Amino acid sequence: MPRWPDLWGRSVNAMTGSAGDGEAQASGLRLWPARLATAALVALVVLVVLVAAIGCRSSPPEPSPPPPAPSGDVARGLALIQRYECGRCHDGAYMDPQPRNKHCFRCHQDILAGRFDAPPEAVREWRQRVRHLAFVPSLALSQTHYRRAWMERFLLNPTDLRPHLVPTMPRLALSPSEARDIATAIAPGDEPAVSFRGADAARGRELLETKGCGACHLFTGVPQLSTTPPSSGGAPTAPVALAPDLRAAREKLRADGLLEWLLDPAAVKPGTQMPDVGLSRSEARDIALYILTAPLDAVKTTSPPARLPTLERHVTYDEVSQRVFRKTCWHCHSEPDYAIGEGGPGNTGGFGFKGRGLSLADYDGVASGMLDEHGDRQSVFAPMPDGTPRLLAALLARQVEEAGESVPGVRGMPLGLPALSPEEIQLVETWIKEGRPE
Amino acid sequence: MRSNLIIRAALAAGLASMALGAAAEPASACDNGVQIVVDTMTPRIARAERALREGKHTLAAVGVLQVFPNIRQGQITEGPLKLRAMRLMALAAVRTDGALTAGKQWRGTTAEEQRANIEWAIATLRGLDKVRPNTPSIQTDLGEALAKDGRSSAEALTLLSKLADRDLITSAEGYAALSRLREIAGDTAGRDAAAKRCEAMAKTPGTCRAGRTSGAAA
Repeated sequence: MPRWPDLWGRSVNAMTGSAGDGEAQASGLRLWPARLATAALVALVVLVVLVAAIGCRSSPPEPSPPPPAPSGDVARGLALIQRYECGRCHDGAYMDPQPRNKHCFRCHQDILAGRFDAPPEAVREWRQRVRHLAFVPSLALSQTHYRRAWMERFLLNPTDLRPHLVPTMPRLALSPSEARDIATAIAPGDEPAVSFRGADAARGRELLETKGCGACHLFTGVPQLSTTPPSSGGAPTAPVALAPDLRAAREKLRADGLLEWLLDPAAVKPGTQMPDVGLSRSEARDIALYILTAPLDAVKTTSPPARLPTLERHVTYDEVSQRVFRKTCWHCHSEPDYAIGEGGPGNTGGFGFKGRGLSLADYDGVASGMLDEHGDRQSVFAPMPDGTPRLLAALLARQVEEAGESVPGVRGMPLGLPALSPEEIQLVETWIKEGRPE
Repeated sequence: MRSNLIIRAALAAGLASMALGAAAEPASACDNGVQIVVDTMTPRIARAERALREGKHTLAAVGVLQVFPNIRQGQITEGPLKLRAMRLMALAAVRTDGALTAGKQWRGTTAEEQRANIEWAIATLRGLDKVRPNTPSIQTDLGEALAKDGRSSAEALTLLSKLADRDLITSAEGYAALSRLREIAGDTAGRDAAAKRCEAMAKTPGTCRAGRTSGAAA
């Protein structure tokens, strides 16, 4: 009979647990219930450990709020909001409404809505040009929904949050402490922890599909949603233009704010373009969990487009003006005499920038240059250290910014708008190289 | 607001012209007899500026006079559109060497009339330079005008040279004037450099050909 050591190290009969003699056999039989209990206990422990291990692997990590960001000064932040004229674009409770001639979008909105006093033929022509420049996100959600730390980073290094919206947040001359103060004023609240126990991220993904969220939102970094925003041969509609890429949500949004928003957008922000798709609380939690925790592919790095060689043909000022200066630049670099004293942030000042006296509205304006930090005039064609004319350097810098980098000491132009195309920059460069013919 | 004043003034003008039976432009009349007329002064001055850039000096002057018929008596403090109009008129006078004839107040047939026109232009541009200091376009125009008056050649040369050093001369005519002045001063390299810039910039042929100074020359 094979002999096993029992749990106490004694050698006992394998079948009977006996110690080998009659008394030992009897005592071994009496040990069986204890042995069975011990074995059962061991098995239970092993089972619990296994279940816990398997259970841990299948539950997604719960999103947790970031550590509290250092606070800035709310009063200073509110004063900075006025100084940097956030109200030129954004409507919101803590900034003075800007008059039409200072608001970056009001004219376009009025033109499209038929409220602009001008000859009908002019309005008809303008309507085609301003279709892409009518929408701007409000900051109505910021106090309860945005994360302060993200806001602070965003103000210092704006990224494109809304791929279908042509204008973007301009890169302002904010210091880190100013960004912190503004972020504290706009997004002051502490973020409570939200438990997503029981929520199902996979179901959240399915709901994004079935509820048609992809009809407006992109979600870069996850497998593409089956419904996608319509490719805009024309201008996107307001819902599509204002729908952010959901990739940024996990940094930008508070989890409690996101849930509230998904459940009843209009209650959070009356008049919002975001529809109420009739989510239950459980569905909202599933979607939120997916948005906040879905694994993301790394951001694809891009490079600025290749610079084109100068053209062989003659380029006049009229062509450059029509295709570049008067199409884009003069919105901020206007002629005050024709704009009732308001030359735009790039001329008479705005967005926290001092007036630089640069008009790009006519040939004289371009040739008159801009004011430097000392108030002296300097040519916009003066070469930078690498020989690139200053104007051209600013246009190229905007392409670098769109690729996620920045050029030290050069603010990319146009501010808050897409970079010029390589062909447009080629046109400007050719014109400059030819001696800036009128 | 200025825009409200302009609209009210235009509305009054529109109603007055309706009373006289004249057709108001550009809006068509509404049945109730009230119409809003968009400001036409600004686009007219803008058209006059375009004409000047195209070398149509007399046409530019006529355009200005249609908006401001008494501009010869105009004051520098009369508002931005008037300032632009005065500058246009000054340049039209300078670029015709004073031989600007338009309307009753502008005669440029005799040497005396031409000199008077140039002197008006210089005085106007000096006034504009005072009201809008540090504006290269006005300084360029003043330099161009001073170059037409032989008594002011030195001042013109200094002014235009300083602008050229910083690449802030804003017109081909300014470079043409600088080229001429440098030639008089015996600076042939400088003359050629300025002439080259003029040729690169000039929109109309003949702009860079050395022009004479006016009858106002000493």
